Amino acid sequence: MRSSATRVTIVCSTIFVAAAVLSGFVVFRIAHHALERELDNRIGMEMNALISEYSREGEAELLRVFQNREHAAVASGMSYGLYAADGRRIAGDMPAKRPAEGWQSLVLPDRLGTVEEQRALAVDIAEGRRLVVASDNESIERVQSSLGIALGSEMLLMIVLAAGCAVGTGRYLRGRLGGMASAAEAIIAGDLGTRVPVSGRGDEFDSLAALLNAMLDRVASLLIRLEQISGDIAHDLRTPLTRLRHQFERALEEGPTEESLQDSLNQIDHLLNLFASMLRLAEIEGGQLRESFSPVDLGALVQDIGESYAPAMDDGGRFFSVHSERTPAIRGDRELLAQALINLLDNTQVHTPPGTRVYLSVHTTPTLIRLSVADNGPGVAPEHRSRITDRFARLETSRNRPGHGLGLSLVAAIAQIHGATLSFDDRKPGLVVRLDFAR
Amino acid sequence: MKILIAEDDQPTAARIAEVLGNEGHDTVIASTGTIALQDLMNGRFDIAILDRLLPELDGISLLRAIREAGVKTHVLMLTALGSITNRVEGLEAGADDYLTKPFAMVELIARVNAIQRRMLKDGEQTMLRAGGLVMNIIKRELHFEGRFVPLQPREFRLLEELIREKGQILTRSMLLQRVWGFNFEPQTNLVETHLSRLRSKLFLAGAAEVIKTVRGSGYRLQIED
Repeated sequence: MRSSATRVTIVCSTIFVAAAVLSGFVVFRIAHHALERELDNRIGMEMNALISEYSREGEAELLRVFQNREHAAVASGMSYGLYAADGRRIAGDMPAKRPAEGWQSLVLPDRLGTVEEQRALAVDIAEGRRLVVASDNESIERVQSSLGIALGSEMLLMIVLAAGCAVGTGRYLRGRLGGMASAAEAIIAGDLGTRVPVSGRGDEFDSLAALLNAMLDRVASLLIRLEQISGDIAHDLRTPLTRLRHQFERALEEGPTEESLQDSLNQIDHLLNLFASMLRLAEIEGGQLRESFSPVDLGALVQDIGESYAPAMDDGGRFFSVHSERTPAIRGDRELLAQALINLLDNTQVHTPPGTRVYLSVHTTPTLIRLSVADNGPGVAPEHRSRITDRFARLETSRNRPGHGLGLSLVAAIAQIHGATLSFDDRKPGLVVRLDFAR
Repeated sequence: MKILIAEDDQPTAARIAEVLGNEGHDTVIASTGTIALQDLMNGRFDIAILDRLLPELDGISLLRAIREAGVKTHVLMLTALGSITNRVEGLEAGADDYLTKPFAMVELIARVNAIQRRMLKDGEQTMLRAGGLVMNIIKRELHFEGRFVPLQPREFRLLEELIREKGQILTRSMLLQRVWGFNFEPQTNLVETHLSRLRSKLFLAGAAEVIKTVRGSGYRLQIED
């Protein structure tokens, strides 16, 4: 496995080490320049001291100072020279040739005896008298080598630390992730009860672990629901199929009649309708229909459905009233929303007796648009309300009434795809179903 | 009319051919997409009944190919894929109508006849007449033998469709599609409830039973001109 953590750490460390090396070089250069300037200062100060000695005490005194200085030269590393106008060296242990005026490099032995180029200053202190002061680089070199060693070891330390960090981070991450990986492997192998360990540190890994566990909970509940649904489907399909079988059995015994064949055809249509609804439900729940949403006027829709449904309500002996008002447009699928409303109205037909009042309305508030279908019929007991939108959920009392038990599941799916909330409440008496759309 | 049936299931194709033959149409069966493509490019078919899932070349690709080639044959697509997105895809590819399998033969016949009807009509009519009924499409008004008959908007639309397809059967699903724009079947028979209202109003206006229910198929306007 190629560890991203190690790679990232290596990249980071390389950047830091490179920056450190770069700054090290800069420090080195700055120090070098500073030391050189310092050296020049020393030479300059020494020159000034000698010049004032010369002006006060004269040349003999100057030469005496030379001698004193030369004895101390072993420690100070400085060299002196006095030259006449004709180029002759008068005093000092400098080379015979008279140096030019000003700052320059002279080849001289340093305090250890090594001959090298040294910084020197030559000044004409009087007519025909040139004074030269030089200093070796010993001090500079000493400081530079200390600095070099310090910086060098620092670099090395950094490289080692960086490598160590890289390896360490890689190991740590592998360890934390390892727990998740083995939980995942157990789940793949089939143990769905496994959950990813949470360390309690509350860090990113724990957040991820919590999310994965939530996902696993959802998967588990979906699987349970799937089992339930399979059971429900089997039950709901068996009845019409059994009926169909009996019809054919009878037709074989007694001979087919147009009525019985038509009956069988109706049973088959009922089953096909069931499958079509299941397909539609699955398609809606898939969510892709959102891509073809367009503006829908809910107020106009309610009015339209109300008008379309009025005759049916009338025929069923129920009292129907519709309240519609102007509503802002929402994004959705008009046909799906029509289907949802129609399903809710169909439901009132099935679950309420003739004489019931049914009320279809739309209201706007500052935050939402509310569609409601209300009735003053028997209502739904609270303990059943949570299962009401489950696929194929039927109150046992209505198992044999027309319809296929998917009507409310469809309404729930349509609500969800539109981002609307579906709710059921007791009207005491009766039921009110609400679909709330955000504005 | 000359109809091409592109369907790889032999019994289904034969049955469709038989039924359409009884209605007086000439039929040709193509069992793969490539054969169907050749036939449509060369022959002059009025209508093609295309199965969406054909061997060698699927219905949608075939449809796109012929539309691109400028073939104007009307297409009724058949498919077991009944989802909304599939339906829209088929219509967008150039189908005139889309039927989900399994379907009732009467449904197929009714739709084929509707397509035929559409082909024979020339231009949009603003006034529709049948017997003593006169519909002003622009003003949305119905008159029977000179007298105004008030109708609800949906009732008007229902009668309009029936008059346009005078004498032909319109199935419940066709009416739901045309008048309500619904591609699903509500449990409550909206078509029936509206038709009964419409019928009462026509009866009160003096028009004898002109809207006939054909059991197991649909509805038809029957009136003497």
